[in-house]
Amino acid sequence: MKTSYKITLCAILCSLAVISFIIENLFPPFVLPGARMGVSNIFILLSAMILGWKYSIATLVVKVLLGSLFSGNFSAVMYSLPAGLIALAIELILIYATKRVSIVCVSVAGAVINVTVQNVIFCLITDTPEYLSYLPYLALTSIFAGLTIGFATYLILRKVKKLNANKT
Amino acid sequence: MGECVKFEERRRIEKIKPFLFGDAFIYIAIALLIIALFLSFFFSSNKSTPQGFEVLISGKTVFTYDLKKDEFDINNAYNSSIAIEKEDDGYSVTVYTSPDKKEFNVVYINTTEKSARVIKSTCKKEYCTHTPSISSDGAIYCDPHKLKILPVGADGFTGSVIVG
Repeated sequence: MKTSYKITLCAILCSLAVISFIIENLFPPFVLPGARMGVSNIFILLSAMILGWKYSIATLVVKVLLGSLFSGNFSAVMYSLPAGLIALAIELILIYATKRVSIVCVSVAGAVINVTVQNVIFCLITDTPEYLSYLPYLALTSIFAGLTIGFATYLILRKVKKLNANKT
Repeated sequence: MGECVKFEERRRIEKIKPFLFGDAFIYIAIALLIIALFLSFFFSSNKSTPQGFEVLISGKTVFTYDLKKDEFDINNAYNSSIAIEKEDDGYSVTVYTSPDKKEFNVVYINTTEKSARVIKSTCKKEYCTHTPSISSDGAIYCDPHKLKILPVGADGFTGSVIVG
């Protein structure tokens, strides 16, 4: 795959991730503060699967920075970026180092870790350890979000695989 | 798509399945983690009745409300930043967080249920209004206004289940 094509595709995935992040921020939180579907993670997983780990990290960083900037909540970068990077690192390890873990499971694991780390960082920065009591509920809701996002990513990748097979 | 995407590594192609054998280990690990979290928070919960509630802005106490005495103890520095209204089941306290009184949070203290929650806020995200009401444990935090509501009598972090 040519580098110029990779960069173009990465840019498209970044823009889709930012747009979905901004739209998702317009809605109230799902059940608990901090709980959301995380639709933008579809595009991060797609960049990890199709383009490679470097492009997936770039997609995540662009999504968090630009998404927070455009949604008017730049302070969220303090919580979202470290949590996103740690979750993405775990996802990349599961994708590249193991052969027997599906994309749906990778998404679920990433979602749980993302929510856990984000909650812990939030409690540390705002000095509200009482917020840790939300952690079990957030982890539970993140499983459903991870399953949905993982399955959506699987359907997209299956379609892409079919297109690729038809071409060759 | 003009040029079809080509998968460079065979390993990634194998991922394109909804379920694989290794998923079971990951799901079991996640389930154990969540069960451990629930158990740890449940057994360390504070089930006693709250003595009152404390509202802070940027770590400084704005006022405390004593449920037994049914009285407010307001910090002198914030006297003009608070408006208290008596309701049927409790008190509705408007806490102004900006000098021009355009930014505020409305805290509702339910004296019957002995709980507190934020019912209105001018912040963008309004996470505070979506946080469930707190009783003997937990906290409500409004990040844009740096407003925090804590139950009085709680020993800091108790890790309990939030009521409501």
